[in-house]
Amino acid sequence: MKISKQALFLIPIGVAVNFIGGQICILTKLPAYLDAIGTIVVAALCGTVPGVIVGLVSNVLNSLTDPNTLWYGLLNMAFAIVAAYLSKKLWFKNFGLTLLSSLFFAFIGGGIGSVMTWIIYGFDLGTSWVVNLVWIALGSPEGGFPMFLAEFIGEVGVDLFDKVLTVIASYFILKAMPTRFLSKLPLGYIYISDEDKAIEDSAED
Amino acid sequence: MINQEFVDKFRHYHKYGTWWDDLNPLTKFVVCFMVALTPIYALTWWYGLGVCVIVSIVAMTSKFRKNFFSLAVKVFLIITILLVVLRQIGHRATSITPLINIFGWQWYVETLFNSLNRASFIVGFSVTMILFFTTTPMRDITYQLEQMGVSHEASYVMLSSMQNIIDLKATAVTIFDSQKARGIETTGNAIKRAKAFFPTLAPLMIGAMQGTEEKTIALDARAFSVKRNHSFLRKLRPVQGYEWAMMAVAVIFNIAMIFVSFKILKQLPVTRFF
Repeated sequence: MKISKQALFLIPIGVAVNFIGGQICILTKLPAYLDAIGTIVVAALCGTVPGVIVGLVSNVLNSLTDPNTLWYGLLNMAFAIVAAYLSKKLWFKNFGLTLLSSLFFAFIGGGIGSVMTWIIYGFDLGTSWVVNLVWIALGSPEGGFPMFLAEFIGEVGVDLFDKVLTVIASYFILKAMPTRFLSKLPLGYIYISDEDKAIEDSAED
Repeated sequence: MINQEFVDKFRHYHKYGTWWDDLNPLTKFVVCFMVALTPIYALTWWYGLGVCVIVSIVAMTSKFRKNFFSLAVKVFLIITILLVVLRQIGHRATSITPLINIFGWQWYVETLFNSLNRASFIVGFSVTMILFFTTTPMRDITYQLEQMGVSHEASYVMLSSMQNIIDLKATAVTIFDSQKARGIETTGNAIKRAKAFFPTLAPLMIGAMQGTEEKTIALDARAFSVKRNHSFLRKLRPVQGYEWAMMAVAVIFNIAMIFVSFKILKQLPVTRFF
């Protein structure tokens, strides 16, 4: 599959933004990861393949310092597939629908992520403090609350907060993109404002 | 370095001067990946620890050992300690034999060894892959990938991503400080801090994206899109005969470990007990 040159050059930016999101979280002391903004924005502007590449490269580079994150690359790639699909369905043009999309991303990141953690950690809880606290609060040690359910609830809860912030950031970035730039990207036409489209139409006439 | 020496250094294959570093990136990857998978099958704390020790000995011979140890020790300690401590929280079905009681917090022998076995899987895999990544510069990895037929666009994406991370990290701190100076609140509750996040990220991302336009022109002016074989200023030694043998041994060892792990290792008294 051929990737346009603009899309190709956008991929490293998307990867860097995935990293920087985490960096800004540390600066603002926010309890979130915000490591999927680049993936979602690139997928929304350039389509599935560039988005999937951003997700894959982000996790490969992340694995340089923590190889364990390599397994979770699948989640980042799944974000790209969903983001490109929702972008084509114009979800990211509407703030309400954008917020709603965080449920899908949280389900992938938290729901499927918790299954992966569950398997990697030998059908037991992962190393997240939140998950362990959820388990204690909901029934351990003697209450018999299903351990996987604690993992699931804990991870989805953390991920939902994270993905709400992620999609809000993605929405405003997409909204702030200049038309001149959008017009060169495969799915950029979706985000060109009606006023700019009207100017373009009148210029053609 | 005199001019002639500088020129001559590009006439030969690039060398780091140590046996491990001078192996072709492909050899290093195959050997590391094959070994990294074995703690997953073995799932035994002493095997994982053994892998970490052997990998550390190999890393000692590398020029990049400082990078390796600073990262590997961190990963090793964080994962092992976190897993051991967190697994002692709450009651598990395997918790039978009491080990120690810390102010009412009961630790169990079986849970301790279960968590060590699990940590050995994660740490064994991670430390071995850290050996590959810290002793192989990214430009060597992309060079080898291009030799194997991967497009130069893929190399660009990998190398440019790494550079962008460094550049944007510095820009993010500058923007964050500027926004703080303009009066945006960066302390307080989570909502206030979340509000500070957007004014930092948006200018950063939009600025970086717009920069791609200039990059497109600059790279095109340097014949980035020309469809022909590319030349390289710096070359790496191709895979040697003995390196193919090393890779074959690594693959055979990996396959043998599947059998050993499931048929022999689990039956050993030292493994069974723990």
